[in-house]
Amino acid sequence: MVPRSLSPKERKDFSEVIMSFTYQEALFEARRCLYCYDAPCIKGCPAGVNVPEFIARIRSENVLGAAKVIYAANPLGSICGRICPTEALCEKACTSKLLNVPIAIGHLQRFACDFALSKGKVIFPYPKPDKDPVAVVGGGPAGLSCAHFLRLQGYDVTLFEKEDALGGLLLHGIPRYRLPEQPAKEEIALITSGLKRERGVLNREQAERILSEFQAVFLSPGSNIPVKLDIPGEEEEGVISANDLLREVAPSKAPLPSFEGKEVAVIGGGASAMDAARTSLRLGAAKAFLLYRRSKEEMPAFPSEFEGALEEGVEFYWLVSPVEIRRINGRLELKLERMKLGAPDESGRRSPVRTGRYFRMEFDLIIKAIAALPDRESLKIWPGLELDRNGYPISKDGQSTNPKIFLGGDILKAGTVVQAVADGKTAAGRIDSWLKQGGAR
Amino acid sequence: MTPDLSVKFCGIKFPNPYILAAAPTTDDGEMVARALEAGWAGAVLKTTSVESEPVELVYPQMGAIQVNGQKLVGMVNIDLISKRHIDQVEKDVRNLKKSFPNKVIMASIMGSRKEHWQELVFRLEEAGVDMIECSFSCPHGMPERGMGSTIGQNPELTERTARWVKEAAKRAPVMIKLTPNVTDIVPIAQAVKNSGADAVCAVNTVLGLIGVDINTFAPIPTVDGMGIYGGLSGPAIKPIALHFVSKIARNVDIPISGVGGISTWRDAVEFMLVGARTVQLCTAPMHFGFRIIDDLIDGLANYLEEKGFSSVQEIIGLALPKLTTYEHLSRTHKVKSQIDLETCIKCDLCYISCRDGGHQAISLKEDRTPLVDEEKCVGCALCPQVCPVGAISMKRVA
Repeated sequence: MVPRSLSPKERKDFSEVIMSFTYQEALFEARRCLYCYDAPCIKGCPAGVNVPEFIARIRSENVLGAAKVIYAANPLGSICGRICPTEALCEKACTSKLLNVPIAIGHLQRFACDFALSKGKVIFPYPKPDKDPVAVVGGGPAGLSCAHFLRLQGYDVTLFEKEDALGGLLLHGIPRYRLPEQPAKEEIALITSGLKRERGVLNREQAERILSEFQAVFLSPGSNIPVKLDIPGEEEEGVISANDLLREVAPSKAPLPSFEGKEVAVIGGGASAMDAARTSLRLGAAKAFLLYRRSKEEMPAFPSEFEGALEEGVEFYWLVSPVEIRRINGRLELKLERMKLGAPDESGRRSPVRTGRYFRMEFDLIIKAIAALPDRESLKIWPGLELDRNGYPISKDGQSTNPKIFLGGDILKAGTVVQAVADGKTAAGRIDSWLKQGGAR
Repeated sequence: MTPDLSVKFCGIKFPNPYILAAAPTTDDGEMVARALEAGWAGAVLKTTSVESEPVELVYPQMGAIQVNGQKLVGMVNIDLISKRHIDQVEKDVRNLKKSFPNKVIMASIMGSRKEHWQELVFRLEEAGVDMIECSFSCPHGMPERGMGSTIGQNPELTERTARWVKEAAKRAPVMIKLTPNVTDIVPIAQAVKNSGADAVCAVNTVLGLIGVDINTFAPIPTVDGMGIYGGLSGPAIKPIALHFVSKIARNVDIPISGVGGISTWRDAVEFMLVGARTVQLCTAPMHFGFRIIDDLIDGLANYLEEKGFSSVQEIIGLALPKLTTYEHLSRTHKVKSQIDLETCIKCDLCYISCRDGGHQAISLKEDRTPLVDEEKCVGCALCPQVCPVGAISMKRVA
């Protein structure tokens, strides 16, 4: 079973859409778990959460024990329980799917973690650091995860993050109706308590200092430079990026912009596009259209994100590509080219092919959400760090061309928060073994 | 042709084998009337006593175990006999017989001395009762006063008391309800037979402690902080009851009404296969209501029709010749676990149970498909018990 969620009509503000399981609902759902041996759900989870074990503990009403199992593998358990695309991960692998429907693993994880958080029973026993100093650059989920697992092993970690608030995309990239501020801030606070920090934007000189003072560096600055549409009219007033919009509405007390009565076009087919469209409707938009150049099957958004947008009334136009934006009579005229599907490209998805057939639509706002790439300039400060043509550092097993620099998160194309957490954890393990083998010495 | 579900038991015709056992479900004429209306063949009215017998009940009375969410797998009660004495039960019997002349109205009685037992019989027969059941078996409360299972645990007391009742009963057959809280039930059933009583009802509840509150450390059910052992009923005791019913059927020539953990028509069939002529239910209707009679009747009729029986009486005791002793079980019979990979969902519970509870005969292939090593498989049949989808059977190899 799944917990209750707000009906589309109730989704007028940024209240969380999906409710928590009640205690009895969680027990009911936990009892369906088969407790598979060598369970496929564990392999389906990038963070490797021991799912059957934590569900068995919910079933025995040892809910704190369940949370302990989750937090051992994923320090952002409550957050991931909410925003993981479980339908593509653990629940996709769930054996119960063959009997009827998969176990609601994400909702159970959220339940157990929130239960433990509410009791104040989530405590991470960081030992007094007695190992090498390690720098973590970037305070998003990957960096926080890496710092967490390094500190658990006794490393002397310093986190470099230019923003005051830690959490990265968790706080300014995911709308509150999917991830309320409270559980996010609570879990982030738990894994950053006592963590040494340095603020400010880094330059070449500081990068060199970091490399000389620290035995290893974990670099996870994210990948958040929006890709341009590269079409005429892109700079017109009323053309904004999904990143900027999501960042603006993220803080719980933020004064919200009004899209009252506006017709909004969102260009893209990923998570940010879905979020931008759903956010627009919550801000009062009369209509939100999502324009994507391939078809529904090729959209990078996960099914649950797409379903959410569909329920809330987002209208989808597939196989259209923007060509030109013009401001006419105070509105934005978007010229679109119809596309068709061609052969699969390097991503394995069928590629959009031009047809030479055009049409025009008018909007009040156009939101760009096609993709985001790493900030090439901020990466260039790191000596020995080679980048590919899109600006991603070249790496092998998460280690960059400068062996002292390890990578994770969206700069490694994590794509999901749980993958970022997993990257951080994996890197912590690799840094540990690399340093034990002598590191750069 | 629709099979005949009626049974003859102690010369009385029951329209079907299903009887409501003496319990809270039969503690009131109005409730029994609704049950008979719904289709039950008869009812044993809750055990009554003479007016001078004090009956002081305590509350709460019930506790239960649930297994992975399945409620009332076993239930314990510390209820006693009815607070309603013979004067009220007489009236119920009269009214019910008038309204349901073709249904079987039985009364259950308990006395502390000969005169009481005999007075109860006399008054019930006057009221028109069809059959009399005697509780020699209540395991809690009553034994502290020398009643209930104190009698049923002793062959001499059983025979003597049953004889008193049988002496008094001029018309109604007498059935003695036995307790499972004995090391050997055969001498007790034989004592009933020797007394001249007409039938046994097996078995009453199993003495048990359903649980302890892990917060207050009090036994369950808890009466003002304290508790006692109670009577366990429900699906959990079915194997115990089946054992006793079959044991009596194989050793003593006396009609049996089977009771103990019956909740479906399948359970009823099993009890009849080991020798019960009628069956009694209590916990299941307490849980789900009298309405379960519809499926009890329909399921039984469909089963009989499918198996080609024209009357339910044909199945009574059919399993008995197949019960033997360990010594007589075949040593050459060999079976091996066989997994139907079409049905298998790869949960690998068979693998882990065989590894840690069997003979390490199941291995997993790369894709988690279980594979039986027939050399190692001894044929213990643990794996089909744990398989959630029924993909495993035991294949005969010798």
